Order: sequence, then structure tokens, then C-alpha cells
Amino acid sequence: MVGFRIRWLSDDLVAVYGVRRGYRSCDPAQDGLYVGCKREMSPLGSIRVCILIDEGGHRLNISRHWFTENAHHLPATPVIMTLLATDVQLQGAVDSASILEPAGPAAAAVTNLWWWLFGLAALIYLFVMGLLLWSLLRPNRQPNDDDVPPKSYKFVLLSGVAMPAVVLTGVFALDLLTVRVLSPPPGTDAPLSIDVTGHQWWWEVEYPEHGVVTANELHIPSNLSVRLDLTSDDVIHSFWAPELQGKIDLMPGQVNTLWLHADQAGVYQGICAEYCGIQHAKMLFLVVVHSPEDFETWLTQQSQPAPEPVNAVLAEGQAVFMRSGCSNCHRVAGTQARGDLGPDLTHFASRRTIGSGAVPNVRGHLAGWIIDSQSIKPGNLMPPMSLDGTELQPLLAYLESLE
Amino acid sequence: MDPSSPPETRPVAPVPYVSDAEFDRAWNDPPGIWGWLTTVQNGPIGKRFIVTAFLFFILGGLSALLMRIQLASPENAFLDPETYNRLFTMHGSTMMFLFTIPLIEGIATLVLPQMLGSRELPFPRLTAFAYWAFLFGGLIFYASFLFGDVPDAGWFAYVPLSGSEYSPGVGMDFWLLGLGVAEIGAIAGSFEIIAAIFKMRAMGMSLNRIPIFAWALLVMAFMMIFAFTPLIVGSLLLELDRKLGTAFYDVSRGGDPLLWQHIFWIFGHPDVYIQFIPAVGMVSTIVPVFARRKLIGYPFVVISMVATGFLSFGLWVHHMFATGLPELSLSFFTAASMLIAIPSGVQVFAWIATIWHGRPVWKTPFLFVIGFFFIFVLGGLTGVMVAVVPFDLQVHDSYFVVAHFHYVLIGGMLFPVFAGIYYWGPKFIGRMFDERLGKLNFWLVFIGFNVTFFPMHISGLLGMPRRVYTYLDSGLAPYNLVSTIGAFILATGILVMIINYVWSSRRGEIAPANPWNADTLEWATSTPMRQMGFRKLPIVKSLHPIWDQDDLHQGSEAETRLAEGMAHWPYKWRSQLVTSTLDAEPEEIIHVANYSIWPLVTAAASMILSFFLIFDLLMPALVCLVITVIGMLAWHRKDYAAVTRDTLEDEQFEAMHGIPVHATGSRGVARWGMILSIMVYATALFVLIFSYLFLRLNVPEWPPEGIAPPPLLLGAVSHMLLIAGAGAMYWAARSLHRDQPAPMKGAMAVAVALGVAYMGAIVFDFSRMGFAHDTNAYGSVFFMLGWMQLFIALTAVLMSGVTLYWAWRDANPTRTQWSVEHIALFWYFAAASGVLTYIVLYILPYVF
Repeated sequence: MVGFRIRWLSDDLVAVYGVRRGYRSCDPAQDGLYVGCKREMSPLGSIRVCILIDEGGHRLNISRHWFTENAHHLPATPVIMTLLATDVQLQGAVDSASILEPAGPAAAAVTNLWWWLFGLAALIYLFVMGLLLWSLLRPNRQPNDDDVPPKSYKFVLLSGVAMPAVVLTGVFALDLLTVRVLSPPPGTDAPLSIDVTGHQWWWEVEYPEHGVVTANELHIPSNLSVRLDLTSDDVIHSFWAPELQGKIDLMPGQVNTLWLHADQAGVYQGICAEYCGIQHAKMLFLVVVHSPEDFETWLTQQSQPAPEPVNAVLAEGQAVFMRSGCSNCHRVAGTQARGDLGPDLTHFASRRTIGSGAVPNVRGHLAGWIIDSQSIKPGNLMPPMSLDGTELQPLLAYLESLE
Repeated sequence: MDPSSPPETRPVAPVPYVSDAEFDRAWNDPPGIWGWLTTVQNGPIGKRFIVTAFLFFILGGLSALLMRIQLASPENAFLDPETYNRLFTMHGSTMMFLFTIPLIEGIATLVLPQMLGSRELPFPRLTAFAYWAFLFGGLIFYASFLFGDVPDAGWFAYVPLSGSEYSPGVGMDFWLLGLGVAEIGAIAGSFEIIAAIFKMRAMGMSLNRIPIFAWALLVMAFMMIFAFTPLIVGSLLLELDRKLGTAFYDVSRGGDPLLWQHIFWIFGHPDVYIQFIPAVGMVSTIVPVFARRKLIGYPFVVISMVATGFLSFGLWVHHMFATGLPELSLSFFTAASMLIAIPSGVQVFAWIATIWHGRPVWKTPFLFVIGFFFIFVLGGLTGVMVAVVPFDLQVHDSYFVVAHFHYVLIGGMLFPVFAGIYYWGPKFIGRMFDERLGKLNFWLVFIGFNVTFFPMHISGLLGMPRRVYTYLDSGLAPYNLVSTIGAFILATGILVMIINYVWSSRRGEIAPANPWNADTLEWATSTPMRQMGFRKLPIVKSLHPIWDQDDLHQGSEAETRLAEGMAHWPYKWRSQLVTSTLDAEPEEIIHVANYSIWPLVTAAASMILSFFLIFDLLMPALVCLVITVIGMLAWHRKDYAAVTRDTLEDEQFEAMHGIPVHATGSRGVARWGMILSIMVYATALFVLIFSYLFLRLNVPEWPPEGIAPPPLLLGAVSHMLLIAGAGAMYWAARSLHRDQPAPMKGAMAVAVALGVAYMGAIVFDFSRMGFAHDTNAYGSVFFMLGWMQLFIALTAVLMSGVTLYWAWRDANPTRTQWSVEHIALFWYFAAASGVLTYIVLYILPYVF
């Protein structure tokens, strides 16, 4: 990284300066300069991608390339500021999405199936390769004799037809047994059914019986079979929470069903498993499993409309939200914002991530996302917003109040 | 005329002595660049196929390396997401369409004729066209880089992502049209292979003596016809959705994205076996040679390959387990997918038994075959795993599947093909490959491959989905880093292979004619091979002629005499013996086509046509279409100048050997050409009927939205005209056989007139339907099927019209116009498809 340096001033303040210039820290509220940061790994080591915004709300740069190429454009006077929270690990509680660590009966059945398949395959592989090596390396070879010993035919048919036939019948039986475990519980009435709609590149989650709409997080109670009705609003996506259940595609014009059952409370990583365009990789979601009581609380809380602004800053933030175009695409229940192109933001502050798992939901990232989400998740459908510091600050405060 | 009747009843004419140089003259192409552009012979075209495919392989491999660098660490920023998505699209499409299939076609083109003991492929100009179409198709595809709009919807191009709404640029058009042109080339290649294996084998090479590699190619070629045709139709429907506003895949107008998935995987799954079967054919060829004993269980292996070919068309749905299809149907496809493990198992154990009873020689080709075993068997086992629905629902579209199919495709296809290159290479470059470099090549590729792809099983199980440009750091990082390192080892191995080729082709040891002491006929030719391979045709009495026969030219007296005779006459044109399908008894002597510029012109015109279509330039596109049609007609024009003008020599030879000489067009070979064309048309028609029924089942009411069902009368009448046309063609063929030129020409004229009237009536009928191709999915599929039938009729009319013109100009039409009987065949098909189309389009809406 030639051309700029970062100095961390505190947990949520960073100073960025060109190599030929000094730096000084300043007050973000006063200067209106923000940096949305995310950590990136590269073969060269850890670097930070920053977004700087000057007083007019104009982007000074959108990526580290800017720093490398345009370092001399950094103003002599402070560039410097961030509202970056501590370097939150995006994963949080989630550190793996392995199908080998199941958290529900369906996934557990498949894990079980996998170990059976693995054992069988390993045995067969060792048998065949052993036979091959032996046939290659065995000593005592007869001089060339083209008569085929009748035993050879028997060998070919026994090991090539009979053995696979037996093994495959067994595997097929395993298949049918597992399918039975996975099939929906008896009785078609689900105690809880949730509609999931795939969008490029985020998930809309609706609890139709409770009037709750959220995004990128699926909250369910533990120890209950929950029915998901999944469809897509645009291209084909696929819903995959490896620790809980196999995947199911979200097809436009068709509703597919998936049953989820989680044993214990916890947070599980999910991801889109059907290539769906430029940001397929960043179409993550979380399955948040609550205890039944906590789930009731969560549901009640989420079914409330958004809280009214309680002070002037929040009122100003709400006004910015309404007049700057946010409300064209986003809905905030209880307000005039009824857009339906982007995620519902009624309880935005209660969510763990921004941009379908792109970055953690903290103020620095939120600022960066609003000003220029394209540098965080290139190709996503949210346009960059031109806001100056006096607008951005209250807007951030307002969004953070949407618990 | 029976070739085995006693010789003393025939007049014996002296055979002129013809020197090798004189004999070669007919087979030589013009010197210089003109000869290079016009050559149609299997040798040069086969080599071009291989070299071009290998260049595409390098491009596909480089894109894989870039992707591996990006994935070396989590949240890496080496590539932006758009570039990454383009790269994996290019990687998959290049490897599947521009590398594996053309490479195998190249090896087939190069090796097959001489392996069968013949001189050429049956339709040399079609070979040339297949190559140019492949090259130009690939160029169109890669031209997307020049226009800055590289396709990025994946090699499977799922709708709606690949439709105009979500892929608005021209990238997908480059993909669809470029690969479409290349696929037409692939189908052309399969015609060659089938007709060659059925009709152009050495005398005595009955079905049970066909080399195993030829069987593999035969299965592959049939599969290509039935797999690539659906893909071309599916791509055409997608392109129409994009360009003309049809609604095949548009949910909002009654279409269905699942239709694309069905069509794509009806192609896509067999496609894997299309690559795999010829590769195991190579294994079955190479194992016995290096184990120094005959293959144990030849009939089992042949049956296994044929069974694999059939079964592979019954398991496409295992790519669609997660789309929400009914559970019961999934279990059926699970069972079918598992069943296909059995023929593979039979082959594996046949090879092991062969090695068991043999005495292995450890040369590079054999090493690659052993590598194939280790990798392919593992890939096959994970293949059974992913056929199990619940397990597949977990690992589908994860890196586990990426690992699985690379084990199957690289292990099952690339390793045998590399073995094949090391095996057959010396025959065609004239020098031996360096063994040390060969072994280094093997070990680097083998180790690099496993280091790259084995960890992917684990990253898949840990929850890493496919086609992601980056991933979160949750335990996936180490596996991905190892994969990246492996990819570079693998790439180094490929580099060593290139170095070996360059070095050995200049400095390598001069290759003897049969360096491996192999058993099949191509090794009986000289090294370097003369253009026609065999001046004196071999006569086969065994499955392993070189091992079992003392004299390759000694058969029954008539056969021996014919081989001797054909070594001297006809020598002024490229002659080829046609043999019967089952027993390979001599049937006729034909002229295989001379060099010609028209295949190149036709392929180039269709490439430029595609360009104009991509950019909606309709008038220039129309001009190119006309040039394409002219090119095709021109390359079929009879080559009177090249063949014997005086039929006296023909008649003498016929009398002496009791075998007809058809210097201006064959019966048997061309008949197969026609049958195969009909298969392609019929497959396309069935795909459209399938689409019609599929879309019909989606809606309760058909036709939808209050559209009236089509009126019956005019359609019925016009289809009767078409049937009458077919009847007229029957009459024409009958007159041909009775040697009556005038009624033949008259009947053909009647057929043409009836065909034109049919098309006019149908066009009129369609024009008053009250809905259009872009009204809804019903309109789209109605007109598509209708247009397809019109196209079939147009083809029939054009062929008979042009042949009528040629017959009219020809002094002796019944001797030279055997094509009339083939065209009659096509007319019967056109009439049958007309009836079927009428039932589906007109009657079905009333009853169902």
C-alpha cells in the first residue's frame, strides 16, 4: 500500500493520511467525514478498504485502488475520520456451515447417511485399487497366453455386475430410509409457516400470520417443524442452511416447500446455492433459532410498527429518509415509506448484517453502505446516495433507532 | 452382382502399373496456402482439431488459474465479482464445448479411417466444415472479449438469469450463437463417425471385429446427435426469447424456466458420457497393448458402452433434485443414476483382468491409464453418492460436486486422452515422445490434480457453494489455499507436456511404424502416414489383425483380388471401398470428395451471419444466409471433372470384380448420411413437441387466455398435399430403380410443386391465427413447432428441386442421381412429421 496510511485513534476512529502529509484527527460530527471500512485479506496480508466522504457528501474514493493511484489528491487538511466500530467479525456466533455438524434431525440424518456412503466408498475404493495394484505388480507371470481363462469372465461379471448390484441396492435402501426421515411431518397443518422470497441478492422473509416482514434473517423457534414456502421474485436462487436441511430452489412462478427443524437455539449460516448473478457469493442469510419463549417475544416485537422518532435528531433522520429517496425502495411500517424494491427496514437495527451478510450492521459500515454500497457489494441494486454530513448523521441515528 | 462368384466367368482386363507417386497425386492437395485452406482430408483436419482444441484448453485453464488465485484466501480482492463470474462461465463453456468434444473429434478424425482399414472419412467436406464451424464458433464466443461484454451466466445459462431482462447485453448472444455454430460442427462430425464405422470398414471387419475404440466412437456419435440437437433447439428458443420476444421461458406469459433446465440437462448429462465413452474406448485400446495381451471380455465392454449410452439419457433429472420436483420421480432418477455404475464397473474389472493376465510395460501412455483408474474410480464413487437424493440436496452446487465432476471429467476423460496423445502421437508427428518428460508430465499432472481437487470434497462438506467469487473465513481457507497450490502444480504438468511436444517433434527419436507393437490397423500404415494411409486395402480376419494375421492383404480370392485391383485403379480420383454394415463385404466403390473451398466459405458465412444477428443487422444477415446456402449447394455439386468421364473403365472394373463403381455419388454411405440427417430433424421435432406438452401441462386451459383453437380444415388439406408429395417422391425413386429418367424427373417436379403449395397454404393458415409468436408461451410454441415443420418441408423441397435441376442437366441421370432415393426417404419423414405436427398443433387443443 503505497500512498496512504491508516492510524487507529481509538476503537471507532481512524485517521487516514497521505504519505507526504501530516494528519490530525477531527470530530466526525463537525467535519462530516466518514469512512466505511471492511477488512480484506489478500495474498499480501490484511488491508482495509475505505470510503471517504468529504463535507459535500462527495466520495473521495471508493476503494484501495484510489489510494494507490490518487494519493496525492488527498487534501492537505484532514481527510481523516471514521465512525468505524470495532472490527466486528461478520460471522459473530457463526463460524461454520458444515454439513458434518448438524443442528437438526434432517441434517443429522444426512450426516449419518454421508458416513455410511463414505465408509462403503472407502471400502470399495481400497478393494478396487488394491486389486489393480496387485494385478500390476504381482510376480510369476506366465508367458503371453491369449486364451482367456473362463474364470476371468466370471470375475468380470461377479465384480462388475453382481457386486455393484448388491452394493447399489443397499445404497438405494439407505436413500429411501433417509428420504422417509426427511419427508414432511404427518398432518399438513404447520404450526408456523414462513414465506421466503429470493431477490437479487437478498432474502425477504415474511410471517404472514403475524404481519412480520424482515430480511436476510430467518427466526424460528427451536424444536418445532416450521414450514417454509419459497419462491423467487427474479432469477432462480437456492436456500441452503447446511447445518439444518438440504437445499431447495427458489423458482420464479412456483412455490417450493421446505421443512426446517432446529434442535437448539443458536445462529446458523445460510447461503444462496444457485448462481444468481454478480453477487451470488454475497447472498447470505442467518437462521436465528430462539427458545420458544424468546421467539414469541421476538415475534411480538417485530410485529410492532417502527418506533416514532423521540427527539429532534431522529425526526431529522426520518425526514432525510423520506426526502432522499430511501423510501422509494424501502418500507418502514407506520411511516410513509412503502417502497418494496429493497428490504423492509421497520426493524432494521435489530438485524445483524447489512447487504445480506456483506458487512456487520454497525454504524461505520452503515454509513459506507448508504453512501456507496457499490464498493462493498459491487453490482447490488442500491444506488449510491449523495448525502452530506449533516444529513448522514441524523439518518444513521434514525436507522439505528429502528430496533 | 456377387463378389464371390467364380472368377473365370468374367473378362480379365490387364491392370496398368501405377507408381506410388502417381497414386498419391489424386490424394495430394494443391500446394501452398490454397491447399491449406481447401484441404478436406482427415489427416490435416484431425491435427487442426487437436491443436485448436488444445489452444482452447489453455485458455480455459488460464481462466481456472485466475479463479484459483482469487479463491486462495477468503475475501480476496484479486478479481472483482463480475470478472470472476465471467471467468467461470468461460472456463466451463470452453472446456465443455471447445475442448473436450473437439479434441475427441480430432482424434477420431485422425485415427478412425485407418483404424478401420479405409482411406478417408465418408464425407470429407463435412469434416472440413465441422472443423471450420468449431473454430469460428469458438472465435465468435471469444470475440465477446473484444466487445467488452463477456457472457457471465454460467456454462449452464439458466433462465431467467440468461434472459434479456437479467443479461441485457450482447454477452449471452455471443455465448448462444458462438456455441450454436460449434455444436453444429460437432453434429457434423458425428455423421462422419457413424457412416465411417457402418459403411467404410476393411473387408472382413464384421461387427465382432470392430476395434473397441471405434465402438466407443460409434456410441459417442449417436449420443451427440441425440444430445446436441436438443441443446441447439433449447439455445434457439432462448435466443428467440431474447431477440424476438417469444415467451418459452417467461413465467409472466406462461413460459417456464424449468423447460430450459430439462432441455439443457437432456443434453448436459449425456454430454458427460459423450466425453467419457471415447475416453474409456482409448483405455480399452491402450490397456491390452501395454499389458501385452488381448482385452478380456471384449463383448462385455462393448455392451457396457452401449448400455451407458442408453442409460445416460435417462438420468438428467439428477441435476434438478433441488428444483422441487415430486419425490417419487426423484427416486426413479436415483435408481437410474446408480444403474449406470454397473457398466462402468464391468469395464473397470475387464481392464483389471486384462492387466492381471498380461505383462505390463511401463510407458507414459500406460501411466496415464493407471492414473485414470485412481482418479476415475473415486469420481465414480462420489457420483453414486450424489445420486442419493438427500445427500445430493446437501452437496448439490457445492464444492463437493465441483470435486466430483472434475474427478470424473479430468480422471475419466483428460487422463485417457493424454494417454491417447502419447500413444498415437508418434504415428502422426513421426517421432517418439521423450519418456522422461512424459513421466514428469504424468506425475506433475497426477499430483497437481489430486492436490487441487481432493480438498474440494472437504470444502464442499464444510458448506462452500459453487460459483462464489469469495467466501467467509470459516475454516474454508486452508483447503482453498491447498487447491490453489495444486492448480499451479497441475499447470506446470501441462507446460511440461507442451515442452515435450515441441522438443520431441524436432529432436525425438524417429518413430517406427508400430512402436508399441499394437494390434489395430492404423499401425499397419507407414510412419509418417501417406494421405490415404492404405494404398493396398487390408483384409481383416481377426479382432487383432496385426497380432493374429501373417498377411494383412490376404483374404478370400475375390477379396484379395479386389484389394490388389484397388491398389491400381481408380487412381485418378480419391477412391474408397464401401462395405456392408454387418459383415463388411464389399458393396461399392465410391469417390470421396476432393479438396474444396466451400466448406470454409459456408462456415465463415454462418459465423458472420451470427455476428450480424447478435447486433440485429437483419439485411446483412440475410445476405450471409444466402451465401451459406449457396456454399452448401456448391460443395455438394457433383465433381464430374475429378472422376472418370468415360464410364468404360468403370464398367470394366465392375465386370472384373463384381462390384459397382459409383464415382458420382454413393448409395450406401449417402443413405446413412440421410438417415442421420433425419434423426437430427426428428430429434429437434421431438424436443419441440416435448416443449409444447410441457408448457401445456403448466396451465389448466389450453389454448390459454381465450384464444380459439386452430381451425382444422385448411391444415388438414395442406398436409394431404405434403403426403401426396411424398407419394410422388416414391414414384420418382421407383423410376430411378427401373432406369426410367423421364418419369423420375416428372414425379420430382410434381413433388416440388406439391411441397411449395403445402408451404404456401400453411403460411396462409398461420397468418390468420389471431395470435402471434410473442403473444404468450402458447403462441411461441405453436409457431415454433409450426415453423420447424415448415423448415422440414422447405429442406425437402430444396433438396428435390436442386437434384431435379442436376438430373435435368445430366445425360445419364439414373446412373448418377442415387440421391433421389435418399431424398425420397426425407420426404417420407417430412410427411410423417407433418402428420405428427398436425395432430399436436391442431387436434390436441380440442381433446386435451
